[in-house]
Amino acid sequence: MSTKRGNWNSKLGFILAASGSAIGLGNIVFFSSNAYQYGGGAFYLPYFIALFVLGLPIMMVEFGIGTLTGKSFPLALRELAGKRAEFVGWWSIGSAMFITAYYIAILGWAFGMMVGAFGSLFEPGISAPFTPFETPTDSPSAMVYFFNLLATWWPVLFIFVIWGLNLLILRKGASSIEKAVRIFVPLMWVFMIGLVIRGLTLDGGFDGVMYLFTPDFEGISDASVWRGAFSQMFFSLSLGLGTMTAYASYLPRDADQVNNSMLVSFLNCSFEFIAGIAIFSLLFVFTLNPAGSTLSLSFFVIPQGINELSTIPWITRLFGFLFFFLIVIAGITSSISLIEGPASAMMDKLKITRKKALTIVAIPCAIGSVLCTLPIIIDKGLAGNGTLGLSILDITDHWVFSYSLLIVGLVESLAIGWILGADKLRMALNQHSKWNLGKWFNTLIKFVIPIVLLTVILSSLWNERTGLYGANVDLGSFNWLPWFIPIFWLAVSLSFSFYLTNKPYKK
Amino acid sequence: MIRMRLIYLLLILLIAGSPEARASIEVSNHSPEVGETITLTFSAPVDSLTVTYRPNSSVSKTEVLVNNPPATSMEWASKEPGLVSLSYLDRSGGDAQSVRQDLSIRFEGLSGSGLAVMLFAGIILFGGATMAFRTLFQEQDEGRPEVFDPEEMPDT
Repeated sequence: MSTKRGNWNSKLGFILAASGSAIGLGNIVFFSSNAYQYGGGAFYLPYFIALFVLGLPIMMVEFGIGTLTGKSFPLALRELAGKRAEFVGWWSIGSAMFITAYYIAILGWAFGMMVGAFGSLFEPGISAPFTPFETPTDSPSAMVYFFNLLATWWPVLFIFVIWGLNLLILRKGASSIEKAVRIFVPLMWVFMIGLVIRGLTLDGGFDGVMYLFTPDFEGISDASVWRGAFSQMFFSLSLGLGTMTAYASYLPRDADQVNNSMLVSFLNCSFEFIAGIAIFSLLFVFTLNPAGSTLSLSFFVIPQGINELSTIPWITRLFGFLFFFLIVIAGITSSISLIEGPASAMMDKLKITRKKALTIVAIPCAIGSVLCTLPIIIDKGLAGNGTLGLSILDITDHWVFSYSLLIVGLVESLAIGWILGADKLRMALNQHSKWNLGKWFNTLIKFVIPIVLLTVILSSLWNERTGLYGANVDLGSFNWLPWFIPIFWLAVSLSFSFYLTNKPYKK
Repeated sequence: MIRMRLIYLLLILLIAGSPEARASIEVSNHSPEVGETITLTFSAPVDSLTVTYRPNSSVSKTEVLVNNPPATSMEWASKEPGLVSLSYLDRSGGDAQSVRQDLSIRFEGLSGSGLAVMLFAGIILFGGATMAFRTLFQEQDEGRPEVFDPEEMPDT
């Protein structure tokens, strides 16, 4: 049975979809958190170097293999580097499904905060069913609001709204994705530029921006800053997930993938550039110390800044609503690509319809999203994450996000560099490109990128030696979660990869 | 990546926000420039003050200032721009509690290197995107249709 995969109606549609996929929570939430965590000015230069050393070349590989083969990630790897490479492709698809599950849970909470902007998010007198938050607050507190939201069943309802929107956008493939991104992606830019203008017009806002960009050479000499910058670049560009290859597979074979890679990478990093300006100006003006977690910056700290933007309540509420709306739409343009990657791979391999592929992907992922939003309180004192859902999400994220993407990137560069031959891919890319890639491309793919990724992976593993992630918090009757989740992820994703790799494939 | 480990945040919040912890650090200017001397006033005599530059980052730096004899005020000037956290242990109410005050330290004038990096990155990123956009649409002007010909599509 042949399956029609669909195609982009225009180049702009592809660029908007691919840049929308790359621009997501990673750009708004994680970039600023990482930039702060690694010292602002100490972080930006290594991050900028990472764009050219790691981001652009891997993006070219992922786009290139998509258009050269016209296949989704696992089958593209199979065609170019053999069956063992296909296994890694399916493993990345399996991991992408885990990421999709909790990514949508985060969007469900963002949706709850968005709704709360016109509810009690910016009002005093809120409490949450956790020991530190039992007394109603004297002033508005986004953190207490968030923990109260976390302990209700509302996010479960919200994730079904987000899942519904995703499936609605994905129902017709490339054409319906294109229609959605034509609205959502420009909106994201407009809202972020609005936040930049507000941040820079506040007294002291520009000093915050200078804090991000002024090089701190003492910090730059710290190896952990480079590790953080290279990881951020990989995550931010949505590499190692199979999504870029899936999107590129809908393009004609003679598409200029060097130019497309440059365009998507530059758009992604330009968005991060302005997101950094917006968020650092607010951090500085309101002296917001982003202690604690990565999510705390967007869910607690920025709303705190927004609360002080104006004394007129409806303006505060409107800004709060728009900020979380921005996070939701940026997240949706990325989550559709996270779902499209596995769906297109299954359509290719199993020769099933889009509807069936989407159902196969959506059902387990939606169950995962529900698990990540379960409001059962297991840690009332908030020594850890508070609820069962957030604990599941945190531990899953630690293992899946920190390791699978980088390992896939490593294997992908080794497979393309040494099995297919980096030179072959370079020649194929140059054939239709206005910008010819020199031999430096081969050196990057064969040597530099594998060494960099291996160093990052090994140094992350070295940091695990102090104890199993999440095991230092008492989770009551769920103390088995810290060891169960990594085993479950590995067992499920590896079995999934083994099963699909060995499934007969007809071209 | 998400690292929802909230314990430090909560500890800080609880310490700073609990009703017992009314001890405070008053500052004469919340956003001084680097090197600008400001007056810090404490609610009780303080013998040592901890200054943390870039608090909660992996490249934070700490400096301890000693007040001998303990005093309720002191003069201080930041050595670096950026977020700075001032803290001391308040032992006046029995159990020792940490009292904290965050400050945004401004640059002295315009940061030339910061502006240069910002302009350089901005030009490369936005200039690169513009150039790539032009290339994308040039192909179209040179005869390739914007709407792709289905015949050209990969055979799947």
